[in-house]
Parts: sequence; C-alpha cells; structure tokens
Amino acid sequence: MRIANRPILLVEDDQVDAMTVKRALKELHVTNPLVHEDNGEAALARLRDPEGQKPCIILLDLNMPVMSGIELLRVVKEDEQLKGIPVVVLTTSAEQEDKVSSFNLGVAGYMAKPVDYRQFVEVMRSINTYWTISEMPQ
Amino acid sequence: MTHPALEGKSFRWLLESATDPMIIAGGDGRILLANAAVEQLFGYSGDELLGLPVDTLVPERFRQAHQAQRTEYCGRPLQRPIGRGPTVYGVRKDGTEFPAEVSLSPLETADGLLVMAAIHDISERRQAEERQARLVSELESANEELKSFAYVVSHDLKAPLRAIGSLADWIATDYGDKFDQAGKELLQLLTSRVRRMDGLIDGILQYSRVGRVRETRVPVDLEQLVHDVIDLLAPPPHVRITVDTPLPTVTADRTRMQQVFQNLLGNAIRYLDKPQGTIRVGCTAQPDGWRFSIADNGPGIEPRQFEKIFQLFQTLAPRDKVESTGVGLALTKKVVELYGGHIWVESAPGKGSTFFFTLPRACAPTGPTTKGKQCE
Repeated sequence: MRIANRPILLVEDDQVDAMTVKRALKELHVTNPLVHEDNGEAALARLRDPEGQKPCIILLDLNMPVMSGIELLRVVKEDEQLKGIPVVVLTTSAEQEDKVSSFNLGVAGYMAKPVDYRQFVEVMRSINTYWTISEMPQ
Repeated sequence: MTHPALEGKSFRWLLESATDPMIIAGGDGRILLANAAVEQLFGYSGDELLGLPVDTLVPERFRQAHQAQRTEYCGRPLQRPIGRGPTVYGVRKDGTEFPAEVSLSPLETADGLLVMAAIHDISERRQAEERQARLVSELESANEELKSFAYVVSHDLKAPLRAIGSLADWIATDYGDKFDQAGKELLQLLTSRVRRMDGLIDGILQYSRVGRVRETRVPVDLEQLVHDVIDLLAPPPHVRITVDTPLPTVTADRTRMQQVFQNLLGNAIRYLDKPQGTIRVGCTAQPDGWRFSIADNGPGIEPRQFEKIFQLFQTLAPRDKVESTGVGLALTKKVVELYGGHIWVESAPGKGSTFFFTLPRACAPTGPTTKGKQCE
C-alpha cells in the first residue's frame, strides 16, 4: 500500500476468510498492520474512536451479522471524517443488486472471493498493486 | 303456429315449469309473478312474494342503488342476457346473502312495461373461482420461494467450501514435508473435489438465475454471436466448426443466447472422439420462427439417454474422465423453453449427434415471474 504505516481495516465475520486475507497479505509482503472486526458495528466503533488511527483502506465483507457491509457503507459515506477512506468490497455475493448498491455508495472496488486460495492471493495482489500506484488521501 | 301439445298452456304454466328462478315485476318494482324456484331460492312463500318490492331481494346496503338502476332500466329497457350484467347480491328472507347474476327482459304490455328477471345463484362458481385464484397465488409464491431458495442455499454453501479449499491449500503448503506421497495425493483429491463442488454450486447459481433475473432483450445477431462463441471456445486444430447457413438476428438476451450456443458447441468439442472432428451449425426458417441445429461426428448418444441428458447434474461420462457439472444442457433447455422454444437430440451410438432447438419469432421472456410462453 502507498501509505505503509496506516492500518488496513478488514471487516469480515468468517474466521477462515479473515485468515485468508491475513495470509495473502503476508505472502505479498504487505507491511501495513491489519486490524480485524467481525461486523459493521464494531468496525464503525473502531473508525470513530478518536484515539485510533484511521485505516488507509477498508476491506469489507457484505454478509455479516449485527450490521451488514452495505449498512456500514451507508453510515461511512455519510460521515465527513470517514467518507474519504477507500472501501474495497470482498464478497461471495454475485448479486447484481449488491454490486449496484455498493457502487452507488462509492466503493473503490468489488471483488468476488474465489474458492481457490491461489486465485485469492492474485486478487489481493491486484488490490495491493492498485493501491500502491494510486494516490490515497492522507 | 303453436304446437298442439302447447295449445292452451298459459304463461304462468311455462314460468312455473322453469327450473331457473324467474320474476315478473311491474314498472313500480313490485313483484307480479314469481315461480316456485324463486320461493325456494329466497325462502319466501308465493303469497309473501306477490306485491313485494323487488328491492327487498337485494341486501339493504345495495337497495338504494338498485332502485336507481331499476328506474334507469325502465327508461331504456334492453335485453340483458345473463353473464353480461354485473354480479349482484341477493338476500334471502332469513337475511343470508348470495352472489347472483341477473338477466333482464322487457315485456311490453297494454298496461305498460313489465320486466322479467331470471336470477342465477352463482355461489358455487364464485367459490370455485376464489379457490382457483388462491391456488394460483399459492403456487406462484411457492415457485418464487423455490427460485430464491436455490440461490440462497448455493450462495451459503460457498463460504464453508471456500474455507475447506483454503485450509487444504495451507495444510499442503505449511505441512507438505510431513506428508508422504499417499498423503499428498489425498490432499490433491481433496482440493480437486472442492473445485468440483464449487463448479456444481456455480451451476446451480447459473441455472437458478435463468428466469429469475430480469432479462434485457436486444436484437442479437446470431451469426456474429456464434463466431464469437467459436473464438471463445478455441477448438483444437483437429476440430472444424462450420456455419452452413446464414443465422438470423433475434430479439433476446445476449448472455442467454451465448449460453445456448456455448453449451451445445462446447459439448460437441469436448466429447469428440474422432481424429478429424466436424461440427456443423445450421438454421432453417419455419413459419413461426427458426429451427437451429448443431451436428457433430462424435460418439453419439443412446436413445434411452435422450431425456436424461437435459436433466440437471446428469452426465454420461464419469466425472473423473471428463470434468463436467451436468448443468450445461439443463441450463440450455431452460433458456430455450423460457423463450418459448423446445430442444431435442437426434443421435445413435457411433453416428454422431444433432441437437435441435427452436426459437419462435416473436417470443421473448417478459420478466422474472412470467412463464415465458407469452408472445408479444
């Protein structure tokens, strides 16, 4: 990632999926610290914590208990302090409706989680490459 | 001329013999004559009915409107056969109601206009209609539920499957040196089965999406589409695909048409067992549409399998020999039928196979809930 010292926030309820992201980032030598929350509400609390460091990017699952990814997106994009953070959706949902809602809420990307771990690493590689080349708001 | 058998028979006799309830009322709306069937239907005696305002036979809440309609009718008396008029309600002496249809006939007499009314109790028909409407609506909702069920279930099956795939990969990577050859093979089998199940779930998703997701109908040049599909499939050098006749432009969803040709051509290529494979695509115009054919010189199919191959998850070759989900032809059939066409195969073992399907000229899916057979 272009800004190497800011954390990546992963919002994901599935433990193995979270492990997959951690592992892929490690394999790709991404040095940003990874912080993990397992639902939208907990993620929002972390994002609004005045003590906490704002993440440089949010990797967001859509289907989660308590507060879904779309619900979190709605809140984040209404929040002046948070709406500038790029959000990449990482999901199993191929529903057109989810894609439309996500892009209407200004996501920076929408990635389907592949079943194959190797392919998943490639997806993460692309995300990392893109956000290394692209400028990010400080 | 009156038939001798009817000579001297009175009007009253005729009316009394009728099984349909019939009333004759005067211009003032009072009953002059009511047959036995009316007594039975409304529960009044003949004496009670005589002179009773006909408005008494409709429920209280409709009485005023009925009176107005009656006055209007007497101003412009017309034959109004049964079934033409609106459904009205009758009320019996005991206060119970029933839906009815009434046919009216004006009777011109020396003493002025009389009106004859035949009354039909349509309770049973009404109940049958209501029951039918309820069944249709239940069926529709069950169908909707089934459609989204397939989608939701397969969607939720993906998450744990992905976890199994990843965990197997990590075991192989992190602990690979702790396995002997047999152990490594087991892990490989595990991974390949995860991929297979993933393919099956994708198949269900694709299959359930047909007819569930709204289609966008545009003119599709099938000539161009088939050449694109052939490029995409990249047949091996020993397989030659020719398009023998010009293909039409149809109004359809491009993705669906692509699925149809991709599955049929893909199967023809995949199962070809000859050193020189030929696949021919053809189309003949029919009065109401087109008939397409895709003929190959492959292994052929036994007649007893003709029906089965179009069923979901049915494959003829063992999955370990030819990796196939058994979704392609089921999906193709569903698409063709959604467009109001049909699909079949003609084949014999060793003789190659020809798949035929038809597309009606003006038929296209109109939305996710329609049966797909409606023409524009």
